[in-house]
Amino acid sequence: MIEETSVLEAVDLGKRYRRTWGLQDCTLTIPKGRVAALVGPNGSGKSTLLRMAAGLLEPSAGTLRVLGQSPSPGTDHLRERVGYLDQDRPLYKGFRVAEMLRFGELNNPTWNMDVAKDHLARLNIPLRSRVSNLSGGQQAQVALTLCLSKQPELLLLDEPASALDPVAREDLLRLLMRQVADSESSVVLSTHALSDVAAICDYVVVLAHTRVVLSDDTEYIVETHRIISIVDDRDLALPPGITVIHEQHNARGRSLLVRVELPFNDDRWRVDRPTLEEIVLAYLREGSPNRYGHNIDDIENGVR
Amino acid sequence: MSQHPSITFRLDPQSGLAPYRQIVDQVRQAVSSGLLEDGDQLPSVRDVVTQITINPNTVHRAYRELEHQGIVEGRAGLGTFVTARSHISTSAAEHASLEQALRDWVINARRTGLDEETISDLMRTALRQEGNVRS
Amino acid sequence: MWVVWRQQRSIVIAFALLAVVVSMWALLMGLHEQTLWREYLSPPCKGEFGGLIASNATFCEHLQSSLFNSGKLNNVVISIGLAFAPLFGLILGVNAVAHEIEQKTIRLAWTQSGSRVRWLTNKYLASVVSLVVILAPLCWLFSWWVGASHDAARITQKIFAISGFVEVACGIFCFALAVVIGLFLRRPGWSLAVGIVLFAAIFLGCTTEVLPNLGSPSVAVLQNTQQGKGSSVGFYSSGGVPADSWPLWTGYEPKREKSVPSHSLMNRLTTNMNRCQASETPSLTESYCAKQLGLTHIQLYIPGNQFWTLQFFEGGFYLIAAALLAALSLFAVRKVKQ
Repeated sequence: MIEETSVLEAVDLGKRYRRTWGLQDCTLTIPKGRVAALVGPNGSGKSTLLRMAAGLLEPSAGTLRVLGQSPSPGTDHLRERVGYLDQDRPLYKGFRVAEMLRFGELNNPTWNMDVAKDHLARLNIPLRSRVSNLSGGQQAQVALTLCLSKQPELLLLDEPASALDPVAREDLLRLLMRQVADSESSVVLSTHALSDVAAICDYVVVLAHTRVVLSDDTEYIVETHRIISIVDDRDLALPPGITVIHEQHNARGRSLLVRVELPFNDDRWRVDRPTLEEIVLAYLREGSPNRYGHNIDDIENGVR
Repeated sequence: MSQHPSITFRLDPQSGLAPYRQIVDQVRQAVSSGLLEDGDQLPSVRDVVTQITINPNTVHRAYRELEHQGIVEGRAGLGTFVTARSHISTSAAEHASLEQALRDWVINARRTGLDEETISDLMRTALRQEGNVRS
Repeated sequence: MWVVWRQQRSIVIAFALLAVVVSMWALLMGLHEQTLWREYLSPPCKGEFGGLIASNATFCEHLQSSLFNSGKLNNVVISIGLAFAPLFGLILGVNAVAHEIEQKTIRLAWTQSGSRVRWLTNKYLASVVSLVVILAPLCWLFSWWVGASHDAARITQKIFAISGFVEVACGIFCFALAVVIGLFLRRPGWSLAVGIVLFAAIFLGCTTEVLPNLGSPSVAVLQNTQQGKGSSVGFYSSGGVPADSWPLWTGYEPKREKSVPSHSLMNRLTTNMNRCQASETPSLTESYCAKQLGLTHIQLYIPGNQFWTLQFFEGGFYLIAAALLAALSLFAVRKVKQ
């Protein structure tokens, strides 16, 4: 059996809701072992992509493979290996925490009750509490624990850190990272604020207006983008081998965030390294459907 | 096994340095300043991930880099241990003149009237700014 | 299945308690009425209050009015009996699917390791068990109560519905109906409303149109002299119709006929009779016109011995319909988007 090197592979994937497209022309490959962030504003297609990967929605166009299989409602075995956390973090409000765990145990053959109880103990969530009596942050943590305890190879998390106070957010992300450390799961999580999750992501997919505009390793992204700026000499030609992502004019000159394909040697331009957030913001502003990812062979041979 | 960790890491999101680089640098500094001694065990990846919010792959990467630089060594089943402190010492000696130059510069800057924040900003900009990109 | 039980627990317990309360009430009422009936039907009253000596007449009239008053309460019990099983089934069904969809917990349920078909099957199994466990004893009690409180007429429409096992089948059907509606409407409030309306229509259609045609009616000849004796006309089926039967329609048929007339024929003959009676001033009596036209005043009814046959028909109808709905839902659940 060929071992899969990617956890999620989409080719021209699209999803149509009545008259509008929730996601279109989505082509990306997320390699195994990453913590990948899907970044984009609300309505950009992140939830749609995750729900298709979880088997809750059927694609309208294109193909999608998760862990090498197509995630339709028929593939039960795939669901054993994939954990999904919805944006609303649904739990059965009338249940106690211990009963939610029992729900997980009964529905998942790979369930590990010790892991579940350990996670909740560290978070100081008593098993006897009713779910409805927990705070929003605690409910999110319980919902995440339900996903983690079935020991999935891939975690699909829809906005896991949003609407949480900073302490709850930190606890939740550390819980997630502990799981990744213990079990080497891959994670694909969505967010509309990259800063919330920038500390833990090593792969970024940027979505704008239902299209993928960037998808790559964070290190590669940071290495290959620069901010070049010039003062006064506005008409100076750009160096070759440069693709402009976003340009800003100010009173005294221009500043461009660019992708560098060829190294250049032009002292007239001031060159700075942008942060990951600045790069992502530039792509979100432009929202043009160019593809800046590179294929998986480069990842294996190049950056690492 | 985690009692008190031998070193507590801290990630600075503003520094412009990749997280794995920050870990590597913090270990190097700890070793050269004597906080970590030969034979001390670095916190396990799992423990680091409990201390700070960081991707475990990043920690793996940093430890591998440190191993590559000869500062630590991984012992199968036991953990990652500091070794070959002498490497750092030699480098420290090489850096001694740089450090002296830096101290002198800071004294000058203070005399000129720059406050600590301005000095910090200058330092940060200098670190982030890169000359022309070379392959 | 534990999960489904745990999700339904409060609803099942609520309906169980309600069933206990209603049963207690029906039990007490039924015993009380049973005693009254026994007294009324035995000497000196023998089921009448006219044509007796004064002291007995008062006593018997008193018994009769007691029975009449409790008869009004009977209607309340019958209404509860009619509503209980459908509401129980509908609410369980709405809770099982529409509520989960609205609360988004369905996204939790459908991303666990099992299949959607298995999830829905568990819902059906657990719910049918809950329904049968609560409804079967209740139906048994109601069947007893019908006999104790009425001493007659087992198959009038409403009473038919609450005796025997039809209500159990109704409950199961309503559950399946609510599941299917919930899969498409996705909102519990709306699903319940639509379910109630749909079930009411089906129930009425079934009992008024389908059943009378499924049973084989018999004919009883009515004699006008039956009236006016102060007899217990209000409780017995009129005239020669046996006590245990289900009266359908009164009307006329040609004198010499021995077969069961069709409804349309009876309507036509009634029109003729009305025309005859209204043709002269002062209007002619009914018996005169009947003799003129050569008609007999009759009543169609379904005899009591068809009770179980009709129960199996109606119960069977609901169960088969429930099975079809269940199959539809098990097929559709794989297609529903979330």
